Amino acid sequence: MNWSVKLEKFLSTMESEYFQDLLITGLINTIRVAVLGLIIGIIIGTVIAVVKVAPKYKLIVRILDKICSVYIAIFRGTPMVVQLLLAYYVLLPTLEIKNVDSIVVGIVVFGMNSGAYVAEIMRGGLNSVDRGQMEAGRALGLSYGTTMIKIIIPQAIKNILPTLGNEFITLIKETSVLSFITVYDLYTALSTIGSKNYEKMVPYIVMALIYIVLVLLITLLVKLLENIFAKSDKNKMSNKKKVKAV
Amino acid sequence: MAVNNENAIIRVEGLTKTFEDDGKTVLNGVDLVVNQGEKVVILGASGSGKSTLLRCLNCMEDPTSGSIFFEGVDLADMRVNINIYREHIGMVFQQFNLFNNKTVIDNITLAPIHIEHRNMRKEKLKRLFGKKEENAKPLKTKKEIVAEKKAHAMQLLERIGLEDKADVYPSTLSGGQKQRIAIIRALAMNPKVMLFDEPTSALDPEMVGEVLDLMKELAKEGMTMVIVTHEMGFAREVADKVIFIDEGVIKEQASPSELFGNPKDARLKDFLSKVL
Repeated sequence: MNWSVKLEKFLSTMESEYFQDLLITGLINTIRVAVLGLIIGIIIGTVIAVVKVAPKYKLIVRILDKICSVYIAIFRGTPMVVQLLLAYYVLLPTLEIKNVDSIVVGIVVFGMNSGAYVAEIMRGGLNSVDRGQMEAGRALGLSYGTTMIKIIIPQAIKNILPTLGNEFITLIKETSVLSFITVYDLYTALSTIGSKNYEKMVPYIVMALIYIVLVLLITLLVKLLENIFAKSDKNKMSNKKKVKAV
Repeated sequence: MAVNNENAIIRVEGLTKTFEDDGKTVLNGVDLVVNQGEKVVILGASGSGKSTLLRCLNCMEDPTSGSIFFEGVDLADMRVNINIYREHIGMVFQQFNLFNNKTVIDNITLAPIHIEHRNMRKEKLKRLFGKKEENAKPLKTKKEIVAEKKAHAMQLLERIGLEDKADVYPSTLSGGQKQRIAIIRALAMNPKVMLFDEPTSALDPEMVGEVLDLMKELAKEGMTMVIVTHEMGFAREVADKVIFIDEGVIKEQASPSELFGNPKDARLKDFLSKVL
């Protein structure tokens, strides 16, 4: 096996602006689906978690609770690929929805899938917040919902930040199945580049390296966020604020 | 209604509480009147139901049966919007329960700003659809509300000498500081009555004094207070009425001098001999 020839072939392919654009488009799409998917996932997951921890006095809460359980069962019980295929090739034609970009389907399915996982993470987070915080809010006359949004959820998110980072990492790696529904992601890009002169070994190695770099960057980002949150807990206040306060 | 006392701010009638999870009956028919400006101290051994009684007064625990009249409104009625009445009932907890994700000043102003803002929104809607009133007061803007409540909070902080802590997070404060801030957080709502649930029990001994001093100040200013505590000296000095509760019923209630000086109930005598 002659690696130098293979590398040369790859580099010569990459000299063309067309293939450079392909790679960048693939990279951006991968990041886009993972980031937007995570955001949707956090929103859905938080809503489900709040329903799950809410007191079950009211019938409506009990009904919502059942719906959430079914939702989680469906999205955790099937592989992401199956969900993508069902959404794109079964659901859309059945509902006769046309002109939907496949990447939009990708983002929505990733978001809904992630929501099921974030729900469980978030539930742990909500339970980790001291009960007294809710009591203090309620005793001041704030409603359950207001106390949840202003006091409990912010503290829960802080507590689960490392786990959310893991979820983000999982998502970014799972984007490699987007090619099933014709989304132009990192995998498709490098696969196409490899097809140029039937030399896929180097592109696949490059693909692995790019994923590793992405994951390392996320890890770094989560660490950074954790530090910022940790600081806001212990800081003695900045000088600027001090002047304003006095 | 048994007694129609004009002066009563809280009147409890036949209150019982059974916890659903373990089926234990903690309160077994409690009647209690708290008058305007009165300081009521509740004593009792641990597990006697004294904290549960206090927590029922603002429905932090839902009563199983009985009534809790706050200014004539039965808070035990499920149709009553409890949040509106809790605005007027301040509560101070054993574990302080300051909001960890908020600075001291935000801890104090969060609820007043939120509630005032909500009231302004309601008023705005009412004016939009209701009759036009002559010379109605102009509505405050959100900015005005925030400025007003912040100024009030700073005043309260200055009062307890912690104005330099306005922008720090609770985790940097000592227990005594936390509890004093928790007290003025409740005070910032201009409550009509304040409930204290063992406010000094989680404090280091050297910090108990500063919290009790602040409570004594409030008492002098005429605040209506219901206090669960183990501080007998404080009860003797401040209370107008001391209540001894045991096995979920009030065994004895009297002025402090009488209750401490001439206890009648056997359980109370036993209790006092252990704590005094």
